[in-house]
Order: sequence, then structure tokens, then C-alpha cells
Amino acid sequence: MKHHATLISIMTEKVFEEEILEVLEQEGAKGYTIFEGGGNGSFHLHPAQHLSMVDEFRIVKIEVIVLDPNMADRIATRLMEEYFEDQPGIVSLSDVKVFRQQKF
Amino acid sequence: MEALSGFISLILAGFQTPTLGFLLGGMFMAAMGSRLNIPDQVYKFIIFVLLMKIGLRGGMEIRNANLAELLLPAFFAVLIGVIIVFIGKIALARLPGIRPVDAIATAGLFGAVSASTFAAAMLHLDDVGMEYEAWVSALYPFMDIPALVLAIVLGRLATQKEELKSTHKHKRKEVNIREIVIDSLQGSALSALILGLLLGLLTKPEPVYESFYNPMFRGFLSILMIIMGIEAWQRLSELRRVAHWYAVYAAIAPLLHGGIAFGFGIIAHHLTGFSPGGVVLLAILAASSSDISGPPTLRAGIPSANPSAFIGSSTSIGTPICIAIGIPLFTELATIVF
Repeated sequence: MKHHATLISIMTEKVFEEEILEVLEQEGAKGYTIFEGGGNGSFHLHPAQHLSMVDEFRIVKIEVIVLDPNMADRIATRLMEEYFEDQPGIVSLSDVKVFRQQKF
Repeated sequence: MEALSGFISLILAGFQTPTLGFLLGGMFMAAMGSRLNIPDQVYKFIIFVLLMKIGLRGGMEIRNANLAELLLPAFFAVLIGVIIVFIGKIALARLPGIRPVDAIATAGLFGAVSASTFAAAMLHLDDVGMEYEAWVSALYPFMDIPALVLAIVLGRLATQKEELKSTHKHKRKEVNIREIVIDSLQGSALSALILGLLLGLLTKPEPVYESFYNPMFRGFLSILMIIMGIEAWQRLSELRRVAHWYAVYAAIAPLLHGGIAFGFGIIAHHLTGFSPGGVVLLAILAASSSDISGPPTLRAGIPSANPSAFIGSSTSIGTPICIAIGIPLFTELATIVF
């Protein structure tokens, strides 16, 4: 019933969201979830509650679960090489167990 | 001497106008740590209404205008946008403690145009009774887009240079000018302005303009000014974390850029009869720095530039200086020159 899968979490700014989703789609991810929020980091302060005239700078977390560990590695590597060298972003991979296998 | 004292009393009177007074009020509340919060959706709607109003009026006037008159100011607008970015690249980038990429991004934002500042300038001209061509609003994209495109191209080149020095290389996206232009035009500010211009030009929006957009303009602008004041104060803390030279640049740049544009405006005045009010608006287009639509474009275009530097400079110093000093200064200058 349970299946091993990899959860890819990507934290970045909303302004880069579209390019990252493109990579996910090209690599064959079947779906993703986006959360908006705030936070602080080395690059820039992102106050979540403050009035902000530019909402493209809000933090987003994009989560994708894939069954194929190689696909997860490929996505993480591409994101690191093509985007996160010089723009803010964090990619992490974690092992998770999923139920309905056909969804991933 | 008389001109100077006249100008000082003009600035003092300016502090009490709904525009500047409310801006300072917003700054004061933020400085006091107030949690006064105006929802994002509200200011987005306000910007939309202001730009629609400006666009509608411009469009209605273009119907009867001689389009040839628009050509020279439009050409000057492009030229000024380009000059502003080069000034930033040459002057700001040489100052100590400033990364060239950050300097170029900041200059790009100062070359771009602020809709709210422009709206405040139009209102000021209406108040002092100085005539201007309403189609000057159509010059907005002519200055905004070239400045942003040039800044992004120069920014990418500067990033590549930084990388050549380090041994480390990685895959890089190509600069796609067409994409940047389309992205700017699709942004919410320019979309609203273009929609207003088209509706003003092709439909007969006079009834709704007179009953809604025009009367709402002043009130909405006053709310927007409070929001800008709060935002300005909040960004000031970010600006403190980057080199102090940004604050110096942000204080001088609006007046310098406006002065250059004023000069071009005088040329257009002599060649094609560009009105004195039009010259003031051209100067304000140049003096203003983008607060809302420019930052995301630059952020996406030059990801390695530090947003605290360019947004802090523009929103917390550039815009207040432009509204408090730039608008009355160039208006006064126009009454002296013309």
C-alpha cells in the first residue's frame, strides 16, 4: 500500500515561480503545490504581514512529490545549476511514503 | 533671491497639500510603529483607477491632437531613459562599496517611471492652473521600457564580468529583449494605462470619466500617498543595510534627471510648441523612480542584484524627494523660464 517517493521542496520568491514550474513540467512532474509566505534570509527580508507594494517578492514554497528518485535528482540539479547560483532559493529532497502511487 | 524665497514658500505650502502631507503622515505612522494596514488589493485597485483616469484623459485628447507633436517628446523620453541608466552605470557604480550590478539595477529603477508620482504631478499642475497636453501620459512607456531593458542588458553583462573573474561558471539564460518588453507591457501598471488610452481614443468614455474617474482621482491619490509613506519608512531600514552612497544617489538623482529632461523639454518647446506644463511632466517622468511595476521586472531580469539597494533607494528616498521637491521645483522653474 505504501510506496517510497521523494518530496522536492523549493523555496524562492514569487517572481521566479513561473521559470521553476517550467523546469518541473519539462522533467515530467505530474503536479505541484504552491504555498505563499514570508521569512528572512541572507538575500532579502520578506516580511509576511507588512504592507508590501510588490507581492512578487513574497516567498513561495513549491512542493512536488515524484516516485522516480532519478527524476528528483535531475530536477534538483537543474534548478541549482540554472537558477539558484545567483538568485535566492533553497532546494531540498526528502524521502516520503505515499499512498495512491498512480498520482505521482 | 525672490525666486528662491518663492520656491521655499512653495515647498512649505506643499507640506500641507493632500499629496505630500498625506505621504508624510504615512511615514509618521510607520515611524511610530503603527500597525495601520491598508490591504494590498486596495492599493492595486487605486493604482488601476489612477492609471485608467490618466489614460482615458490622454486617449480622449489624442483623438484631437496632432500626432506629429508627440514624436519629438517620445524620442526624447527614450533618450532620457537611456541617459539615466548610463549616468547610474558611470557615476553610482564607481562609488566605494557598491557592486556594479546593484548600481545598474538602481539606475534602471530611477530611469523607469512611477505612476503615483506622475499622478501627483498632474494634480499639482491642475491646482496651479498650468496647462499641459494630456497625451504626455502616453510618453510613460517610452521612458520606462528602454530604461528597464537597458539596465537588464547591462546588468547581465556586469554579472558575466564578475563571473569571468572567478573561475566558476554555470549555465546562463540569454537576455531576451523581446521578452522583457512584452513582460513590461503586460505588467499591471502599463496594461491599465494602455487600456485607458485605447478606451479614451476609441470609445466615448466622457460620461464615466466625468462622473467617476475624474472626481475619484484626488481622493484615491491621497490614500495611495499614505500607503507610499508607510512603504517608504519600512524600506528605509533595508536601505540602512546597504552602502550609504545609495542614499546620496537617491537624493540627487531625481533632481538631476528631472533637470536633464527639463532641458530636452525646452528644446521640444521651441521646436514643436510643447507646452510648459508638458515640459514639467516630462521632467517628472524622468525624476520619478518606479515603485511598483519596475522592481519585479528588474528582479527577474537581474536576479543577482540586491533588491534592498534598488527598492530602498527608490521607494524610501527617491519618491519622497521627487514629490516634495521635484514637483514644486520644476513647476516653479517652468514659470520662470517660459
